[in-house]
Amino acid sequence: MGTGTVTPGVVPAVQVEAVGKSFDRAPVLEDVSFDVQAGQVLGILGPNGAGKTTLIRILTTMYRPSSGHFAVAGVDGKRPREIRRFIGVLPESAGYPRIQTGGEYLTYHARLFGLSREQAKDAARKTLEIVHLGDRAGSLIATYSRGMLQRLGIARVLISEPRVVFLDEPTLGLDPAGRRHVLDTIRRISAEDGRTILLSTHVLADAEEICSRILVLNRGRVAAQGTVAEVSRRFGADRHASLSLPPEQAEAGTALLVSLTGVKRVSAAADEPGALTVVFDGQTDPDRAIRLVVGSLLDAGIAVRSFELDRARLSDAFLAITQDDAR
Amino acid sequence: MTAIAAPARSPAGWSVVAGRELRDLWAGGRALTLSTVYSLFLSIVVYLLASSTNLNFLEQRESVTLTAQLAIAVGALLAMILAADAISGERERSTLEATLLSPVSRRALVLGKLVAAFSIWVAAWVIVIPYIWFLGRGVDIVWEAIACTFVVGTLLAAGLMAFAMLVSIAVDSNRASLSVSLLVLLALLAPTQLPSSAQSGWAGESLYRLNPVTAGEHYVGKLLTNGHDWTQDLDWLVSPAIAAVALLVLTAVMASSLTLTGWRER
Amino acid sequence: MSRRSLAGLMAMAAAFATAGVGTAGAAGPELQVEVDRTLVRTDLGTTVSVRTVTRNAGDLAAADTILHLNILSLERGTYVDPEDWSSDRTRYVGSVAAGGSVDTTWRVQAVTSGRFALYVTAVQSGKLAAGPVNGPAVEIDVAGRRTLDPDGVLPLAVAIPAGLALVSTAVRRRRRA
Repeated sequence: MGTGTVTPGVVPAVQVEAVGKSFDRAPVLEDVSFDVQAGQVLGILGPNGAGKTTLIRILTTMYRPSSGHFAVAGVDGKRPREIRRFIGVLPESAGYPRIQTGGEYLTYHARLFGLSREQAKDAARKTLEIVHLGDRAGSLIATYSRGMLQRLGIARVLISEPRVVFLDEPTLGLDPAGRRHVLDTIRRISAEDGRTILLSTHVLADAEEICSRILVLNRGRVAAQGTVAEVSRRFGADRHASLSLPPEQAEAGTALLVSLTGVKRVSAAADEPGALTVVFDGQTDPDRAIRLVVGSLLDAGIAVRSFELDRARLSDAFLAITQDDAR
Repeated sequence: MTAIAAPARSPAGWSVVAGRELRDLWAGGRALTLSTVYSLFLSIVVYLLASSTNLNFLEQRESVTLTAQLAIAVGALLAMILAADAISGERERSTLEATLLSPVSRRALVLGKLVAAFSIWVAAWVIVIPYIWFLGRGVDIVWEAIACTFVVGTLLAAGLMAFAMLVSIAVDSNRASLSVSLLVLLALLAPTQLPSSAQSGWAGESLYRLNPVTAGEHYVGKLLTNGHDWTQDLDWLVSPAIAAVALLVLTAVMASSLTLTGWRER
Repeated sequence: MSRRSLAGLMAMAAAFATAGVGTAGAAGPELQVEVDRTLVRTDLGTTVSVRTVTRNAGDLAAADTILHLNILSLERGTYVDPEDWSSDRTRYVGSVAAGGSVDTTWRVQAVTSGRFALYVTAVQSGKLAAGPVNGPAVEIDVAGRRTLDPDGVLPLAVAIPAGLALVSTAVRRRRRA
């Protein structure tokens, strides 16, 4: 089962247990298990063909799992119509009816969730304001830009006030401003409204920015899960630290550092005397790295002019995970 | 915040879908364009028929019959095309998933789309009324022609629409859906082109009776051209009625199998 | 004139004395077909009713009696298909009791203008050798009339598609605005 923080008595917003899916006997997902607590933002990462979209489609009742079971918003996966009342989904590459206006589109979808005509119009108006499309409510969707379409999609997701939100590649094809707006909206609906969000994305920077936890899929299996820091640290490539010593102590400092456990190598910058780069192995805890390097040098009477530890990069961990599995 | 507490059943789901589909169809202009082309076709036919000054009484009645039969065939065809596009077209335009993600049942979704597709048949019937009036008033069969066009056309449109919807639900390609539906309609219309000798005999007549399209058109001909009573040839409407009911029921049953990618998940 | 000649003349006179009556042979059943009128004037397309009475003047019941309506043109060159005039031209009236009669009403629609003769034939299916009994012919004069104004078709043929095209254009423009 998943390893999210568990509060006794609180049912996770999403529970997935040993879910598998095959198409024509070819497995696409195998033995996927995880939990998502209410209010969390889970990033689902993985290379192309890892099964991210398939997993989302199973959880959003578009596909039936071949094995295992799941629950969303406390509703068992065997009751798909009921699940759909509590979720909002932005599929990857969703299409929009070009002959409708944004307002008409949202009003329609609100009515599909049981609102009266007046309630639906009101909800549509408010939701369009949230995504900054209020002034384009009466315009045909055919006139919307790519970014506006994505915001319209998010508006549709929100119109039913879902408990759990699924976003499949929400920043795909957007310019930086569009991407920023989408991420801000996601952050807002998570922080202010307390909604649970499952975000499938290729863009690791998005995951690093807004996800409280990530799940890495590779070849249909869970390759890693945890917080961004945990996964980065556990699977990350070597950590780097840059430090500056007095030039006359650089040689002694280098010899000391090389002897430390956890330090893979030390290199000196050719054009800057005293500047050293220390490479730690990926398992080294950042706090320990600082204590190890700075503490050891100071204990040996070697002055440390500056010390900077590079942040563990999720991209390094991601590549390490997926390449390891490929091997 | 709590999610919308929709009722366990959404009885209005189909009407919401139907309302939206009807607005898209008519206010969006597609149905009006189809209706315009259809009326142009009727105008050409009726002009050719009526501009003959030597049209005798019987020939005039036959003209009314032909107009009614064409209205039924083309009107049912238009409804069929809309139904064939209803699900597979949305799949291709990537708009189906958003609708399937709502709590509306699959059956309500399909029913709403059938209602919208049926509206084009009703429009086709309304459009043919002035043509029938013009041709039929001199030979006293206006009301019979209008009424039997509606009855027979409704049966055929319902059956063909339901069939096309089944295909649309099953296949993930819109081109395949339209092609299959049109081919089936052509196959059903083909026997009307056979010589009358092929239509006689037990095999020919059985085929004619079992085929709902030819059976329906035959009934119209007997009523309008031959002046038969309404009940005299009612047995010819058995196959159109059975086809309509059976296909609609099958569509209602299979609607729950509607998925994002056809009957089989891919 | 000889007595024999006079008797023959009187027999012939008696045969024609019963105007509007057709008769069968004297032995057993004796069917006669009468009509309610001998002339109908009507207009093209009108449906007229002709009433016949089939009597059995014999002393035995006429079993399995079938009545059939026929129509022919009195003008050379005018085509008549009786099926176009009436789709209900054969009546299976069954047995006509001795001394009894059967009333039948025939509805025909005058689908062609001109002069026509309509008559009803009675046949007993078990006694075909006795031959049919024909009733007297009813003359039907059908006056022609104009049933279609060809000049009126063009405005109709133009107005409807033009009207729909205008509405379609207006709706599309309003949508885009």
